[in-house]
Amino acid sequence: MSVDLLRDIRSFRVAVIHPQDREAEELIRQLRRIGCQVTADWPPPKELPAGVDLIFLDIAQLVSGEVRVTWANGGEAPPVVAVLDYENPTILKAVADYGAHGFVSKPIRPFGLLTTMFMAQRAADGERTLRKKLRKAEQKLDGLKKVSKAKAILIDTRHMSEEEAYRFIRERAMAKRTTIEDIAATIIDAQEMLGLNHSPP
Amino acid sequence: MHRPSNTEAPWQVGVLFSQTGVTAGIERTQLQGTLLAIEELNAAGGVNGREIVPVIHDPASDPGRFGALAERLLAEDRVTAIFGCYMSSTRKAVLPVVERRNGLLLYPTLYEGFECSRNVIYTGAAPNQNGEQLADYLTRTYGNRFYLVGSNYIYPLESNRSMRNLVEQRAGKILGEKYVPIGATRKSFNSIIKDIAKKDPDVIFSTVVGAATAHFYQAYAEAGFDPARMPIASLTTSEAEVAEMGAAAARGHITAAPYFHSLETEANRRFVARYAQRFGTDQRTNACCEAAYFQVHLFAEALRIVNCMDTDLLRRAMLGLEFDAPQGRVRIDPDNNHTYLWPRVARVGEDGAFVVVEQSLVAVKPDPYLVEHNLADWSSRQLRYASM
Repeated sequence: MSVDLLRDIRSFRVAVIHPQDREAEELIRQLRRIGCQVTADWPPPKELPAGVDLIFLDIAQLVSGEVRVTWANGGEAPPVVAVLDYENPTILKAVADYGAHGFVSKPIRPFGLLTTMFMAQRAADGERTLRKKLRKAEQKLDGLKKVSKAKAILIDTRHMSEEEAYRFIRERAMAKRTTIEDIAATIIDAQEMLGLNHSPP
Repeated sequence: MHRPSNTEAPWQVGVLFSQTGVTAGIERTQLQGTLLAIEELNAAGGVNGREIVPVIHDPASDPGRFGALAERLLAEDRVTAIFGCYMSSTRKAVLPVVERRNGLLLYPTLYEGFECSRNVIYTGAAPNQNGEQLADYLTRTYGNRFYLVGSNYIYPLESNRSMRNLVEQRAGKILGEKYVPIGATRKSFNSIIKDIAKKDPDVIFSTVVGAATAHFYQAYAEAGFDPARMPIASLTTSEAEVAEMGAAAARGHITAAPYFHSLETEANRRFVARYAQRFGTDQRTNACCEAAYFQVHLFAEALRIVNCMDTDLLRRAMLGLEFDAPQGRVRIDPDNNHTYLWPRVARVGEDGAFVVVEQSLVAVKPDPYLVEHNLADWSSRQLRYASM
């Protein structure tokens, strides 16, 4: 899997957001050696360049300059590698604000760049996977809460046992070709709308 | 091992202070402090019988020129040691050059900390040697509602972060935080002055550097603000900036630094007298100039010991070295290449000279990586309050 990632990196589209100078040149040269397609921009473009897999950001320039980048740290934005020449708290706060997954220090050296990209990409992938899992788990939990609330309503108002309440919800779901979470939500809504005598547990 | 040289050939050292550009005013005094020390050493027979000859270039307050000229000094002029740099951006430009070519940069300027290169000796104040003391004095004397104004680059940004932290520790408030470009003109301050009038803070903390400093203080004076009630406090407004703005605009404002021209130590009396004799009686020394001066003497002491220009040997000899500087006895901290210094707070008097209002009784150890300053620490270290 890791080797696959390396293969991916070779075909990456990389955006270098850095003033044009010797450091940027060295960075771009090495990225091209690695095999990446590189675009270089300064000042930063107003929007995330399309199809970019990884972003290099000159943090000190962004901290002290007039320009800001607002598109680099969204949930689905590509991973950011910070290009640093200072490491004081002001800079580190910016590194966190831009959600950087790695850094390279100036002066840029070819060695270490691939490792940084590799680790940044891996960390970002890992985060994305975890975020997805978390979202699913939250949905699942939400559904379970609804089902248990709907069951409580049925137990309370229809004097069913817990098992009967569950079977009732499941049969309705099958009949209506929907999920038991949906049926549970309908029961809760109906109960709330009609204001039937039920105090939640 | 190096061979002791039998040559009479002079020792060449590089000197990189801007004689033109936005920070030429202060950097010229650093150049003069450097030259004065070199001339003193040469007048006393040089170092181990050999003269010190400075190779001087003017990097014009421009980081790119600093980098290129450092390269030239090490590669073409064949020096190994460079005295120079004021703004952090220029130090950062020289840093990769001295690291790659294993040279030694002696940096005589206060800065924001968070750096420790083995190729740099830092002789100006780290934030724990000036900002902390300043915040303590200001909140105690004027109040804890601050307004921050700075030039737009790393030093002011980080300095203000640290000041915000200190003020908030004192249950204070930051009423505004504004930045101007490095080459700001008087006009740049109009809206800031208006905002200050509206917000009415207890203290204005200025990290404006270079020629813009005079514009800011003059704009303040013109607005009719009262320094006794709402002073501008700074770590960078030294005697050089006061000379540029004039005593009328500077009067009553506060600066924290390890050194002031008006100090009454024996070493300072000699320093100030020689400086005036060499560069003119109207010329005042300042903290950056003094650091430029004493770091040459420290370097010469190391050179005397190792008797060669090898960077590794010079560095080893410099670490732990002490010197009776005009500000008091200083020492290069072998832990971090910075310098033990004497924190002081001073107010500009009627004649434009700084009057020390508070000073540390001990040389404070540099702590370049300090994140959270603690106000109480320093005040409990037995402050001496000078009469005001």
